[in-house]
Order: sequence, then C-alpha cells, then structure tokens
Amino acid sequence: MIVDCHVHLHGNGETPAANVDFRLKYADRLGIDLLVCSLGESLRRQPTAQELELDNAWGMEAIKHCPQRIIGLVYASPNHVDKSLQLMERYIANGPMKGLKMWVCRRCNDPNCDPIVEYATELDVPIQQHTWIKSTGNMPTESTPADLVELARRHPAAQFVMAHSGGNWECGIRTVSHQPNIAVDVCGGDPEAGQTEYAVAFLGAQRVLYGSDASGRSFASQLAKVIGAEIPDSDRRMILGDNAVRMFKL
Amino acid sequence: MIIDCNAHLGHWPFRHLENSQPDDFVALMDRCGVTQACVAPFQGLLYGDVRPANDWLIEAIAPHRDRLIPHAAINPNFPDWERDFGEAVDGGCVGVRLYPNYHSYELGDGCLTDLMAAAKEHSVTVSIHLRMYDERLHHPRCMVPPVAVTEAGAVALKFPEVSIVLCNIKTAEIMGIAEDIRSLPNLYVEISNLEGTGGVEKLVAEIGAASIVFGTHAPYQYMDAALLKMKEAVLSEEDSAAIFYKNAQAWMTAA
Repeated sequence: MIVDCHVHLHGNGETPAANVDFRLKYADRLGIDLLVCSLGESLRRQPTAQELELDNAWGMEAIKHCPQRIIGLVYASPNHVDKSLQLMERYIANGPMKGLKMWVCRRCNDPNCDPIVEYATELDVPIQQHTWIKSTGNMPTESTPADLVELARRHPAAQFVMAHSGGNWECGIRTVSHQPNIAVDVCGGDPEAGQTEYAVAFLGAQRVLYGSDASGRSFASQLAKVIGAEIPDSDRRMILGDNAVRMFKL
Repeated sequence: MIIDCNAHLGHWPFRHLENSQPDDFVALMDRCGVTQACVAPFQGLLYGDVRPANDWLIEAIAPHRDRLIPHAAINPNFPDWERDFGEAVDGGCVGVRLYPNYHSYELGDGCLTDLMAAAKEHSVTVSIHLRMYDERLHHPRCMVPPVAVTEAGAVALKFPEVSIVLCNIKTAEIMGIAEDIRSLPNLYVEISNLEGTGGVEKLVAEIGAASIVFGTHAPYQYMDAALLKMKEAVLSEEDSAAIFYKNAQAWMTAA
C-alpha cells in the first residue's frame, strides 16, 4: 500500500473530477494507491472565509468523484477561526475528511491556531503544517520548524505532520527531533539523496511519511526519496503507507 | 541500456553524500540498472584551478572506464584554461562541464565562445549546469543564482557541430526556450530537475524525444528519481530509447 500524504488538485482541468482523473492516471503507473489531498482549485495563500468554503467544497467534490482513493484534508486558516471550526465540524466530525491542512495564512505559533488545533485534537485527526527554512527568505507568514515546535509543545496531545521536512531538511529534522508529536513528510524539494535516511536516523521510521506535493512536484521524483533510500524494507513500508494509514485512520 | 548524462563524483562541499566515490557509485548504478554514466568532479565547482579536480577524476575512475565516462570541469573564465582543456582531452575526457554561475560568466560572454570553438575542434560535448541545487537551500554565505538560459540557443546556433546539454534545467526554463530547442538539433536538455505530474511525457510532446537525454544528478539526487520519471511516462519504444541512450550514444560516436 502506497499513500501519498501530500497532494493538491489544481491546474489539470476545470473540475475536481478532471484533476482527480489526471492525477490517478499517473499515480497508477507508479503503484500509488491513495492520495491525501488539500487546498482548492488554485493555491490561495490568504483565502477569505468565503474562499475557504470554495476550496473545501472543491476538495469534497474530488472525494465524491473517487471516494475509495481520494482522502481529504480540511484547509483551515487561523485568519478565519470560526469558519475553520465550522468546516472541521462539517467535513471531519461529520466525515469524510481525515485531517487538517494549514499552509501560510499565519505562522503556526500564532495563538489564533490554538482553537483550531484544540478541535483537531478533540476530533483525533492530524494536522499537516507547511514549513520551510529558505536561505532566500521565508514569506512573513510562512512557518518554520521552530514555529511548529512551539505549537506542538502547547498541544502535546495533537499530532502534527511537518510538511516538506522544513525544506532545509537537515535543519528541519533536527529541530523537531525531540518533539514526539511531530512527524514529517518528505515532499516538496528536489530528490536530494540522504533525506529519508536522515529522517529515519533522527526520528525513527514511524515518524516519516511519503508525500509528493503534486502537482508542483512529480510523484516520481518524490517517491524516489523512499524507493531509493538505503533503509530496511520494513521502514520503507512504514514510510510509504503504514504510517499514513495509522495517522489518518484510513 | 541506460546512459546517465549528468552525474558527479568526489567531494560535494556542502553536505556529506553517499555513493560519491567510484566503487560505490558503480554499485549504485548496478542496483538501478544504469549502464554508463558521464561523471565530472564535484571539486571543479569551487576550486580556482580545476586541474587537480580533473586529474583526480581521471585517476579515480580508471578501474571503471567501461562504465564511467569522464567529463572535465572547465572554467573558461580562468587564465590559461586552454591548457586545462587540452590536458582533459588528452586524459580521455569526451565532454566538459561548465558551471557559469559558480565561475562568474554568462552564456553570451566571449570566454564561452572561445571554449565552444575548442570543443568544436576536439569534438567534445559541452554540458552546462544551470544550477547545482535548489537556490532556497544554498549555504547562506554561498548563494549562487541560476544561469540565465536565454542565450543558449544563440550559442548552439553558432556552433552547430557541438552537442550542448543543458543540465539541471527546470520545466519553466525549458518552455522559455522551447522554440530554440525544437529548431536546433545540437541543443539538448536532461531530466533530473524536471518536476510536475507526467513531466517527461509533456516534455516529449513539447520538444520531442530527440532533444532529451536521461540524467539523474546522482549522487546528489537519488538515482531512482529520473528512472521513476521515465517509468511514469508512457512513451514509444523509439522515444524511450532515444532518451535513455541513443541520443547520448550519438555524441559519443561523433567524439
């Protein structure tokens, strides 16, 4: 079982269904079974409350088109806490979505994230949080791994998946290594050799997940980070799918 | 048969890399089913005088010359580079690697024209690295912008006898010069930095398989990445063979 825990459904068709069909065509060629999807028809960094509605409705349509293979995450924004909580109730508490996506609306150590994380904890679903450390400079509202550690310490019962391993993965992985409620996904950067081995060495395989960040990234280049890693096959199986199945309760 | 047109060996200055020595690299090639690889020395990136880097490469790969094809790092912006070039050719290098952003020149500069003339004279392939890794991850005291690729077509047009490979090129950069690539049979791109869903298929549709070569950017990148990109693509046997080895073989035969 291969689960891609980090997929977006935009840019390849006018409808959610068209995007799903396009992605699955290529996922099939690489043996990827399930796609955990988030965000909407475009990448809105600072969505209004109304746009959050639209983006999550887009995700819901995608799930309806192929419920057996598309897993949805609610796109939540600390700029619109009430709306985010409402969407979580509608799409997670009442199903079928399996977790939260928080991107770059605010840095994730912002107190506005707290009620969202508290509700996710109550619902017992993981939070996929974008992080990057860019030597070219982060966006002002873009979270770093250190920001996520702050948030995770405030919410020790919550489960986080740190997207992109922090971009600068050596730094990102070491930053979160002692925070047990943070796992990482490997997606979103070039397929730099050693990334997965490094994550396994410092976090243990049970805290590492395969993701691609399609459509921006290639299923193939990101899958290679796990397929090509010099790790035991039992670790590889965990990273490719077992961890996602456990965390997202698939 | 698979020929990797973009590989390096030696010491990468910013991070420890596995499989960067010849024996280990050949073992990696065996695991991945890669028949031959064109290899250049990582040290050529930051050394002022690249000769020791090329000397090291030629000596280090001697036991694997059936698998590893030497490419010399050349800096045409360095005094007396012609001597380095000549020694590399005498040492068996059939290609040269250029790193214009690390060696402080642009594709339109006269020093590159001089190097292209030498490459023509010696039937040597010229591979130009537009970048070596993601600019967002550069060492904060060694941030190097990518090479502006817009002049590549003009260079290829001026030297039609020289095969030019644009390495570590991104999809958007390819699309920006797609017309040049389509019209210039000596201008190629390799796929190690290709991203997006179905990237290789789209690229074949855009510029044709005759302009694409297989490259992994190993051992900096997982060798499996480029292989999986090819697996993801549904191509004709002819197009697949062109990318995997036939295009590269054509230069080697010419050399």
